Amino acid sequence: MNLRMKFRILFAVILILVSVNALFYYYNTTRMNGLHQETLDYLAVFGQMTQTGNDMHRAIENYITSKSTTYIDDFYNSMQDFEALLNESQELEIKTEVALYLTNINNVLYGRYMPAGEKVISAIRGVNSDELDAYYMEFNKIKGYMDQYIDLMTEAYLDYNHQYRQVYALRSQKMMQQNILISLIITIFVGIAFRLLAISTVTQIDMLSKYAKNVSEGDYKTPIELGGSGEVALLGRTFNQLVLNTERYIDGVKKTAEIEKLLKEAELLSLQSQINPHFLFNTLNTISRLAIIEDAEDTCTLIESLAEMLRYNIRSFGFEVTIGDEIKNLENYFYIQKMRFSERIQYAIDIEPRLLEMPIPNLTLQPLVENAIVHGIENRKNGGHIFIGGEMVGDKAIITINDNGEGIAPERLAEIMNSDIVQKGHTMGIGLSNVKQRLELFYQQKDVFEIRSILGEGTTVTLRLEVNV
Amino acid sequence: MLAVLCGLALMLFYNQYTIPPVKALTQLDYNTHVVLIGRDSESPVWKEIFSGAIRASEEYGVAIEYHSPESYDMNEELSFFEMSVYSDVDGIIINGAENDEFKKIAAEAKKEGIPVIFVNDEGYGNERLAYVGENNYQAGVMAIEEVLTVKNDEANIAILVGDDFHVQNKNRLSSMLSTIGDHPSLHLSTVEEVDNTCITLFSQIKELLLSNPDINTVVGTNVHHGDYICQVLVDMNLVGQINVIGYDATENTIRYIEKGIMSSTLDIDNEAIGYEAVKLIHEYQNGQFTDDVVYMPLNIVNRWNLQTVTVGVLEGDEQ
Repeated sequence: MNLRMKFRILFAVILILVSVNALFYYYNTTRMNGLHQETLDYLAVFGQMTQTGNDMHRAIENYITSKSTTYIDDFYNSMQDFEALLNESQELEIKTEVALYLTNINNVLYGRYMPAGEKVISAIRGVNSDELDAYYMEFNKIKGYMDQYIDLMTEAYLDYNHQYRQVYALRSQKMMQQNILISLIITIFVGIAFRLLAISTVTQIDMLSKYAKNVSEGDYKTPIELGGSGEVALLGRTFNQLVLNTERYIDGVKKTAEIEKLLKEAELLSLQSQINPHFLFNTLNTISRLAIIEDAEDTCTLIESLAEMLRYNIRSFGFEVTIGDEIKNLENYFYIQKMRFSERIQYAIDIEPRLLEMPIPNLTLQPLVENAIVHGIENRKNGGHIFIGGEMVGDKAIITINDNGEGIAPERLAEIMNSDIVQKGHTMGIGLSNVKQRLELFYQQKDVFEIRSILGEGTTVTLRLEVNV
Repeated sequence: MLAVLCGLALMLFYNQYTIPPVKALTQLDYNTHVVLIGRDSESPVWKEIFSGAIRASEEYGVAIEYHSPESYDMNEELSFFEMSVYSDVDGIIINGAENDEFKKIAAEAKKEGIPVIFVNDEGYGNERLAYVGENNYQAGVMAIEEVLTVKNDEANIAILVGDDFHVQNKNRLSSMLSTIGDHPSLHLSTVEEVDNTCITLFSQIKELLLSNPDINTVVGTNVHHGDYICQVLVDMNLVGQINVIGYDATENTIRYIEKGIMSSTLDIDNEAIGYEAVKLIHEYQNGQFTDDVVYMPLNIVNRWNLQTVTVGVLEGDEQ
């Protein structure tokens, strides 16, 4: 359940509780108001009954004194009004006592009062005039009974009403206490609910901020663990991912810096070996021209090769070059070395033409060939043969430098590979280990460089280069 | 969370229903409409009769309309009687009487087919449906015979009678007088007619005892007499010298017997009278055969059996 949902539910619950509480209170108040209205309705009907009863009676009295028949009509009209009131009162919410009295009034009205009234009327008309007094007295007595019933009914209703009000007042009081209690419970409940929500959420946020602080201070090692499936937990996981990515990026930056450091090192070594290249080139040029004047063409070519080789080395150090450039440099190198070793060194180059445009760190092949000469062939009376091959195998370019010289003893090989010390006899002072490291950094893989040597049979260096670097 | 909600809802409804609804005095669904006309709304006798009538009304689905003058008033009683007859109710319970006006109204009721039950007084004539109450003659005999058990030697007896000196008192009195005549050790000192109102009753009894010093036994004939005689005895420091035989019992009566101020009293179960009367009307209206006379059992209560008999006294009666 997410945070938004939790809050929604919490607020819904609060709303429902408060509404229910308010509704009960409203219901109670409405009942009380209904009671007031009912009381008024009852008393109005009872009052009208008395009034109409008096009207009926007065009509007969007026008839006795005036003998005008309009009063007989009045009597019957009032009687109808009274009947209407009785019917109306039946529609009220009847209480037992009231119902009893209504029945009594009804019975007295039809069974006694009306016949008595008619007797009085007929007595006045002369049918029974002797007994008018007795009839009139009876008529009055019955009217008195009816009035008494109306009074008793009102009294009974008010008595009932009073009791009801007392009970209702008690109920209201209880309701009030109950409302206060419920409000208290709601407050406590809401407090607890908020507290629970806050504990789960705020604690996680605390953990997250502490973790962020650690990360900002450089501790990437321990990832944060936030339980649950809420937003904060998601934030934690995202943060973990972010830190992981940053860590990887920093590793990359570190590696790049290392490459640059190695290159700088190589450059420094290179600079150490060229005291004043311009002076050297000028001198070599002068010697070359002198050689032409003296008709020593071989000397001239040799010096030009040397000059070109040196220029290549100096100019392109630290740059990315093509395999083709490296091969050209190698040829210059071989030319020079052939002058030195004469026919003792044989070499062959067989590179697939499409490999020539491939990028490669510069001064990669020349140190390897030099290594072959220094360790394999230099001390061999019979000389040796060096083969440089290049072909595509799958998506990798395989470059092989193979000699049939003396070979290197395994312990000596390990020494060469692990040592940063520049081996004596290397033109550029760049050793095998440097080449290996640079290739590994350039291609970002470990199996780029392989050297295999058999004592007395020769050495083979294999480079496996990723084509799409 | 749900549990909390349910709890609250339950509490609300619980509170709604624990407040009892206002109880109407009588049944709302009634099939019979009975008017009970009392003689004195303050009298414990009538309070007990009313409570018995209510008990029966709840049992049989009868609505009770109760009227009573605040103190004894024959005219008001008769007026309620006539009103009820004119209202054509289903039944009337009233203290039986013998005067002409009463008889006239009772005859009218009979003519209208309204069953009338007399209580306390047996009444005269054929107007009543039935009489429910004690056997007045037997009551008189029992009261005097009780004098014999509490008084070994000669007894000079004064009998008090109320100013509502009607059939029941006459029957009681005549049976008392004949019982006294049957026993040579009993002598009638006087029959004193006293008021029903409390203040004058006290001074009248005092007067009686002062003017007749030979009296050693006083017998009452209504519910008030015994208690007032005891009060006078305490007031005049005559406790133990005069035996008191009461008639019917209030809470105070029981206390006087416990303390030995009153010797004995007759126990009349007024509550049962009210119950029986309503039951009779209900049975009559349902076409059942009803007895003309229903005598309620009579018991003598004295300090020896006070613990073992249940005296029909309404709780909370204070006289």
